[in-house]
Amino acid sequence: MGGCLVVSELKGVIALVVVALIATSCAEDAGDTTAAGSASGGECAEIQELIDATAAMLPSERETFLLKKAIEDGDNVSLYTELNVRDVDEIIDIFEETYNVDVDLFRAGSEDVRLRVLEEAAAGFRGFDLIEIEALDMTIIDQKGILAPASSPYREGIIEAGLFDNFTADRVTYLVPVWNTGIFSAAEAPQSFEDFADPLFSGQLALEDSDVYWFAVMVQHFVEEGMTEEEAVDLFKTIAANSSITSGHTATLELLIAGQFGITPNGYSHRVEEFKIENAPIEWLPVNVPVVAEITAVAVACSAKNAAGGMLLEDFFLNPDTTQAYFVSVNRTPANAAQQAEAFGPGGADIVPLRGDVSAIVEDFQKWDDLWDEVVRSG
Amino acid sequence: MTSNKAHSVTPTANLRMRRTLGRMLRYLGFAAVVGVTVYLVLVPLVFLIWRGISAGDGSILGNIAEAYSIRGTGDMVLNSLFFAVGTALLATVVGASLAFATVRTNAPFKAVLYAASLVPLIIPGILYTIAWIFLLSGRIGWFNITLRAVGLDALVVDVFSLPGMVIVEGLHLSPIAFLLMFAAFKATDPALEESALMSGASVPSIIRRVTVPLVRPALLASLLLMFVRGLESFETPALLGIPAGRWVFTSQIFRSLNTYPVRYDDAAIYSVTLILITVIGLFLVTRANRRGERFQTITGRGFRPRLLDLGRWRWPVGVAVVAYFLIAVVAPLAVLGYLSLLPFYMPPGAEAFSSFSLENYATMFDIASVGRAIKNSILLSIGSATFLMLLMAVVSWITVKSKMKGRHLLDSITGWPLAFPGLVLGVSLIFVYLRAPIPVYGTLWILFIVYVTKYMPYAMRYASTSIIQISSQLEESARMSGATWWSTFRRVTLPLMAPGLVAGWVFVVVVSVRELSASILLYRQGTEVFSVVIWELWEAGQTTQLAAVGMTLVLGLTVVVGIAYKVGANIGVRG
Repeated sequence: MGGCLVVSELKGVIALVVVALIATSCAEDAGDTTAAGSASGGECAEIQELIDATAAMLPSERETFLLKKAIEDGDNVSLYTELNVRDVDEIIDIFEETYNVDVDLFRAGSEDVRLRVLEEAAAGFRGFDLIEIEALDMTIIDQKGILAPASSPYREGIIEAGLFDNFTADRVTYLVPVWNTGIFSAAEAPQSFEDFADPLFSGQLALEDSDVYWFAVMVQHFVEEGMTEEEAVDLFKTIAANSSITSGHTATLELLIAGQFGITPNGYSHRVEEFKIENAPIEWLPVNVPVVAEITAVAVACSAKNAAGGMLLEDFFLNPDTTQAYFVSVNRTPANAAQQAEAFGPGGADIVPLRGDVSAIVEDFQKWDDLWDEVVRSG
Repeated sequence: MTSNKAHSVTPTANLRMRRTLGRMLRYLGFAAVVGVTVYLVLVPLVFLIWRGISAGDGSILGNIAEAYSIRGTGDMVLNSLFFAVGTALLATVVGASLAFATVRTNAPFKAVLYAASLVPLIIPGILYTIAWIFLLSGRIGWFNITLRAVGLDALVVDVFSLPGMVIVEGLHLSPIAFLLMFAAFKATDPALEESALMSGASVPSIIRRVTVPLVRPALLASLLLMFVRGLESFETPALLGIPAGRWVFTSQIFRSLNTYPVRYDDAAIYSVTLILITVIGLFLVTRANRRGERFQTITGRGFRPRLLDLGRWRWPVGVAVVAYFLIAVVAPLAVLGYLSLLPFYMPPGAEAFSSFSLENYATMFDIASVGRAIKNSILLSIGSATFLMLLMAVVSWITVKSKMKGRHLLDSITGWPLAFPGLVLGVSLIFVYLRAPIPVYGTLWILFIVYVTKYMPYAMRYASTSIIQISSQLEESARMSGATWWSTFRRVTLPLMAPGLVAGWVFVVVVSVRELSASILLYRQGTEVFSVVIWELWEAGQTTQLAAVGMTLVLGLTVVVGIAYKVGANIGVRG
């Protein structure tokens, strides 16, 4: 009898779970509708009022107005970001001290943040007020109608390539060749990207495996220079065949410093500068190959719970006197044009970075991702 | 007369009513336990299957064919199997040998072994793998440099290869096999070994012909657990496998989830494949262990464990114990300790030693989330381990001791989460609890659900391995003496299961603190856990600070394990 009871209970529970899940799966469609609705102005209406109300204000008036509203809202400001823990802690501390408004933080890699935001939006969940991730991931999110129009007065100072309808660049990261100075001298550093295919670097190369954007922009550049797309992709495959594939930009640099690898074509310049301060044997200058600039941007959610707080924090990220200045102080490159001109080029680097058309790459993302996968698997 | 009759009927009726009530309560309790267990497992599973079939044109076969036609799928399956089988063999052979040496023999140095052998388990996968990169990578690995220096180039293994992955994962998992086998050896009556010894059998022959058959259920369970754990492992394939071009199921699932549009269908189909492999494995182990009473060694008859004299094998075994300790425990910790004192990695030498400082430790608590993470990790790991071991104690009683129909299915269900890759579990739970009317999203409860679900199979193996060895005679005696099911369970079964339950508890505490791949998707401000902080530091490239946090974590967990060990000693974990 006991057995029957438990077995029937077991079946009952299984049936209940299945029914509940079917119900939730149907709810996903509803969630999607909500997200789509936000694009057409449903949930954006609330934040649009704020944007309209502050449109004609001076930055200082806007700051006072938004602060008052943010405190009235009562909710903490929710920030989703890919910025590293040390920097984001510092920025939040200054923001909280300045405004006495608390920030809730979710920090993860740009792709993980994107995955979470898309899941939350599909369920109609109001997760973030402000988001800070790579422009590529931001474009994907923007296509779902999750972002409110960008309205910060500090957009005026931002580089032109960093201005999008619903998001704004706050910093730029440069992908550059980096080598171990104990293994290669500056004179041996590649004089062109094709040089990476040189047998000199065979067994010494490390290629980081997550840079689809870098790859797409580089291939487009080579096509503009006269190569066919196939030739450009083949060049990458030849280089990858010479390389160890690695995961994580900083981890790659650590192994480079340790001497496991001698050179990488796609390292972060600001990280190299940080390591150089501690006398680590790595260098990225002079740079003789095309350099790709990766934009990281901020945006406020259409359905922000504390919309005024989100806008206030967005201004804080773009303000040349606050976060933009902080980026300069930690060797990062701010998106503010004037500060960037000053900050960029430590050691006298004189380069014109390539900036890809993010929207076009997102349109063809599947193609670029598959091609990059082929390249990585050639390694 | 009437009054007398009333007197004689009422107690019987009362007794009957109390018995009926007791039985009903028991069934309700069982139903609740089974309901919770099944719910926890089926929620992510149903989600997985639904996502697997609802993508594309909605055709199951079409989606499966598409997932398996991706370039390199054949290699991926072969790599996964090689990696998982190699890991299972290495971990089980090492873990079982160490457990045998510790519990049943007079091997020297074994006193330190129980705590020391747990250290690899305590070190989070990402840290252990990083440490091994510095020990075994082609050019800079300490072991490789040493081997080359003494002319043993033939023994050099590059960590970025399938054998390298097997070594790292196998050694990292060996403590799990150790804990499982420790409990099994502890509960096995050594009388048979003693008889064999007195009949003139040699030690190797006793081990092969008496000891191993006696602990066969635990040995098979261990092999299965290690195999599936190898299939499900993420950190080693990601950090070592991808650079080596050795893709496995989990790295492919990671890729499917990180692309856009997200390929939920591929991730789901690969995950379901892992679940099917697990179910088949569980079925085979259950079948092999079906006649459980053959392995019952805790009977009403008492026994006093006596140590096997290894004779001339004593010192070779002692040397092997020390070698394990040096390779699997000391060396990785030495690398982490060394890293934690440096501003960035430098080869050992004068320059490195002159750069030593404690700055990484001093600045560790400047990170806002570290304090919260410590509190949350302690709360979650202890909470989920305690809940899970109690839940599985009852479930294992149902599957092993009761005659209920469907018990084999229940047993199998508890094993399925073995094959849920953490990332997939994370995405599933986000999906479900964003929509379900249970407000756990963004709270510690959702992490609690993850840990309880993910580690259920291990808890179940510990619980069922313990209960399978308890003869029904003891419970029957208690029931015959008038004890209720609950008081028999509480006062007879649970205490007898205690060594296995404590070992399982220690295990779940430690692996919960380490869990990363699901936690990273589910945490929010205020619910950070330790592994997330470590991962953040890795992402930020603060490897040396991460080593400092890691060393602190290892120290903290060692204290927890030490306390559990002491508590365990009082209830029979240690003889």
